[in-house]
Amino acid sequence: MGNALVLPGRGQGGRGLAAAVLAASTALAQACGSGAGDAGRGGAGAADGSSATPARGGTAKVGVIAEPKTFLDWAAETTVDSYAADLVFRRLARRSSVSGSFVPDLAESWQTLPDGRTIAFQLRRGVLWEDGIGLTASDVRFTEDRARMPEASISGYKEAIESVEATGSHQVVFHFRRPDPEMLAHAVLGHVYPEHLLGSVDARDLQTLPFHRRPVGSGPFRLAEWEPARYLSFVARRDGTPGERPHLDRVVMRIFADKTSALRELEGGGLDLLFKVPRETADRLASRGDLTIHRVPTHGYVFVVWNTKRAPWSRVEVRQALAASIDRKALASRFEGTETALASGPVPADHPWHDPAPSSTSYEPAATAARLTSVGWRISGDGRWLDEQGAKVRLEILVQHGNTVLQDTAAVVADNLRRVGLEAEVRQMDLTTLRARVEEKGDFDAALYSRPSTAPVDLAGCFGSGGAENYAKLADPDLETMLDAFGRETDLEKARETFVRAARRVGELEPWTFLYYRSETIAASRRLRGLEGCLPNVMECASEWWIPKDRQ
Amino acid sequence: MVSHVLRRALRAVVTAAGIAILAFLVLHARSEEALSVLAENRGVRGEEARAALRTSYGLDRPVPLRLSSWIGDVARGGMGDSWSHPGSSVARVLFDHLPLTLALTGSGLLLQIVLGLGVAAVSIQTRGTWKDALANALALAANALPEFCVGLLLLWPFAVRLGWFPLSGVSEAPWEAGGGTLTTLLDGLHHLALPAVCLGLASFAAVARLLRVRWEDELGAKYVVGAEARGMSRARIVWGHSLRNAAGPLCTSIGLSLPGLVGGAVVVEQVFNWPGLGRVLVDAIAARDLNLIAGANLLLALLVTLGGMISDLLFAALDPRVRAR
Repeated sequence: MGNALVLPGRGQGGRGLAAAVLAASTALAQACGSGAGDAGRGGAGAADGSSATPARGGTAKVGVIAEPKTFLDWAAETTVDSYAADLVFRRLARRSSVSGSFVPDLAESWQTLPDGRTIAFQLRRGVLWEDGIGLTASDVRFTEDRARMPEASISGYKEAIESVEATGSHQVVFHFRRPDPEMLAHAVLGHVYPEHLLGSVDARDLQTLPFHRRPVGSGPFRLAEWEPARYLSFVARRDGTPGERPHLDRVVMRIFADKTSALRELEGGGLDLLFKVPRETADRLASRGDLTIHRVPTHGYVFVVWNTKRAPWSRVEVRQALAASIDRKALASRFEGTETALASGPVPADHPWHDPAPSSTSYEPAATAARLTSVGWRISGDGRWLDEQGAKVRLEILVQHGNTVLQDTAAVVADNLRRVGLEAEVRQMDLTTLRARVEEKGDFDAALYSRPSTAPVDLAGCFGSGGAENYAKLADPDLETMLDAFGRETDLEKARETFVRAARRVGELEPWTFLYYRSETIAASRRLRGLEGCLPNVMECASEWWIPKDRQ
Repeated sequence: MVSHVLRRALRAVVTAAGIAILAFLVLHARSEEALSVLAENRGVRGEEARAALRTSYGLDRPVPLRLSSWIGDVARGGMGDSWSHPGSSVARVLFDHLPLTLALTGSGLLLQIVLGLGVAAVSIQTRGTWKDALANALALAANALPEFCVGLLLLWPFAVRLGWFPLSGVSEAPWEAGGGTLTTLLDGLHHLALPAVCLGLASFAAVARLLRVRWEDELGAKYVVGAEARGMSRARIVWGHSLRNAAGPLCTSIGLSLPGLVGGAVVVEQVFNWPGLGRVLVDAIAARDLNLIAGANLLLALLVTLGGMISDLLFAALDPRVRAR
C-alpha cells in the first residue's frame, strides 16, 4: 500500500481536511511506477450476488454534514468540498481499491524517469470542459502552479514538487525536489481546473469568484442546481470524456445540519450513501437488510503528543515509561474492533519505506517502575509517583471537546496511566483553544490528537525543529542531522536508508505515542451498486455507480 | 398617523444600524483570532500564507476603513462578500435563507397566538375548575421545555414511528421536476408543520397567561355590565368587545417576544434540518465569517425592531385610547 511521503521540505506541513481527503487515493493501494494500470471501469458485482450488468438511469442521494463551500481545492476546507469536486472535476489518475494500483483518469499513461525525480504524463485527448473547450496540458500546469500558492489549502501536499511544465498539448512533466517513492501520488493529488477561465484571475480575487458556485468542469457530472443549505443536484454529462457516460442520471447531495438528522434520513430511505457513520450506529445498521456497511481501514491514526520541552516529560526515559504503560492493542481492539489496527509509527506498514522495527514502545507496564525509578522517581505511600524533588507527578491530557472517540480514548489512556501510579487527568477544550495551547503556546503536558487519513508521512514536518506539525517541540541534534541529509539526498536508495534511520530515531525519542489507526465507515443503500471500486473514496468513481431498473 | 409610522420606522432603522455597527466593531476587534480560525480551516500554516489570507480577506486594512467599506457595501445592497460562502455576497446568502426563517417564525408566531388564545379562552370559560388548572399546567409544561426537547418529542412519534410527517427538510425530492403549485404548497406546509408547532408550543404559555389576566380584567369592567344589561349576548361580549380590549397590550408583548422567537428558530432549524437564517448564523460563527455575522446581525436587528414597531402599531389600531395619546 502507499501513502504520500513528503520529503522534509522544512516548509508548511499544510493539513486541512480537504487536502487530506484529496490525497485519499494514496490510502490503500500500491503506487505504480509507470503504465496505465487497469481501467477500473464497468459495474461491480451486486452486493447480493444478482446480475452485475449496470443499468442506466436513476438518482443517487448522498448525505453530507455541512454544505460544500467551493469546488476549488485551493480554497477547500472540508471533505465535503472534495466530495462535490469529485463529481464535477477529474484528476490525472485515481486509486483503485480493486487492483490496488492507480488507474487512468485524465492521464492515459505515465512514466517515471530514471532520475527518480521526474514523472511524465500523457493526457487523454478529446476531454472537454463543459463550455466545449478541450482540456490540455496547460490546464494541468496552471492548476499545479496555483496549488502551490502559500494560502492554498493543498499547498503543503505539493511542497515536494519543484515545477510542472507542459511539454506538448497533451504532455505534462512534473519535476520533484528530491527522489520520492510516492511521486505519482503527489502528482495526481487534486483536481484539474480550466486555465482559460481561471488563469487571468488575481489571487486576491479568488475568494469572490463566481466559479465557486458555478463551476465548469471536465468530470462525469455537472452542477445543475444548488439550493443553499438544502441540496446540490448534479446531472450526468453527455459530452464529457469520450465513451464514458455515467450510468446514473443524477446525483443529489443532500445537506444536513448534523449527523443525527442524516442518519434518520438514511434509515428512512431518504439517502443512499452516508460517510463517517459512528461505529456503534454502524453496528446497529449492519443488521438491516436494506443497508450495507463498508468499514475501510485508513492511514489516519490517533496518537498522544508529549511536550518534550516541559519537565518531566522532557526526559526520554519518562516518555518511554509512560508509552509502555498504555495498552495500545486494547485501545485498537476497543475503538476499531481489531488489534491489527495498532499503529506502530509514523510510516504505515504498506509504505515502500516502512521499517519493520516498531517506532512506539510496546506495552510493558511491569517495566514502568524500573524505568521511572532509574530517573530518580519513587513511589509514595499512597502508591503515587513522586519526582526527584519529591513532588507528586501530575499529568494533564488535553483533548478536543465534542470528539467522542478522542475523548473516550483519552479517558482510557488516563486510566492506564493511573494504574501504574501516575496522577493523570483529562481536560477537554474546544479545538481552537486546544491548538492554541499545544501548537502556539506549548502550554501542555500531553495531548490526544488524530491525524487525517492520508496526511503525508512527513518526518521533518512532524519531528524536525522547524516543522509545522512538531507539536512535541522536539529538537534532537541527531535527528536534525539525519533530516538535513535526507533533504539533500538525490539518490533514491540512499534517501530510503536515511529515512529509515530517521524514523527509527523518532521511535527512540518517543515524542508521539502512536495508538491505533482509524477506519472509515460508509453506509450505503443496497440499491446503489458499483461502490466497491474505490473505497473509501467512492465519490471519485460516481460515474460507475448504478441502480437496478426495478429500484430506480 | 402616516408621519408617526414613518418616524417609528426611521427610529427602528437607526436603532438597528447602531446595533449592527457596534457589533461590527466588536467582531473586528478580534479579527486576528478570526484569521487564525480561517487559516486553520484552510489547513495553511506559516506567516507567508497567513499574510496572504489576511490580504485576501481585507483584514490588512485598519478597522475604521473596513467599517466604512462595509457601510458602503450595505448601502449598495451587497453587505460585502461572505468568507464561508466563496463567490456569494452576504446579502445573497442571507436572502437565500430569509424566506424560510420568516415562514418558520411567522407560522410559529401564528401558532403561538392561536394556542395562547385557545388556552386563555378555555381558562376564561372554566375559571376556577380543574379544566382551567389543567390548561394552565399544560401551557406551563410546554413553556418549561426547551425547543429542542419539544422538537424531539414531536419527531419521534409523528415522523419516525408513525411517518405522518417528514423527518427533515423543506420539501420532498425537489430536484425532481413535476408537481403543480398547489402540490408544492401543500408539500411545503407538510414539512413546515412540525417545526412550526415546535416553535409555537415552546412559547405560547406567556401569551395565554397575559391574555387570560387582561381578559379577566376586561370582563369585570363596567361596560360589560352595561352591555349585559342592554341584552347583548355573552359570546359577543367575550369575543367581540372584551377580547379586543384585552388583546392590545398583548401586541406589545408579542413584539417583545420576537427576539426569543428568532432565537428559538435557530434551535428548531437545527433539530428539523430547516435551512433558515439560524443555521447560517451558527455556521458563520463557527467559520468566523465576520462579514456574514455582521450582515446577519443587521438583518436580525432590523427584523426585531421593525417587528416591535408593527406590534405597537397594531396595539394602536386596536385601542383608540393609545392612538389619541
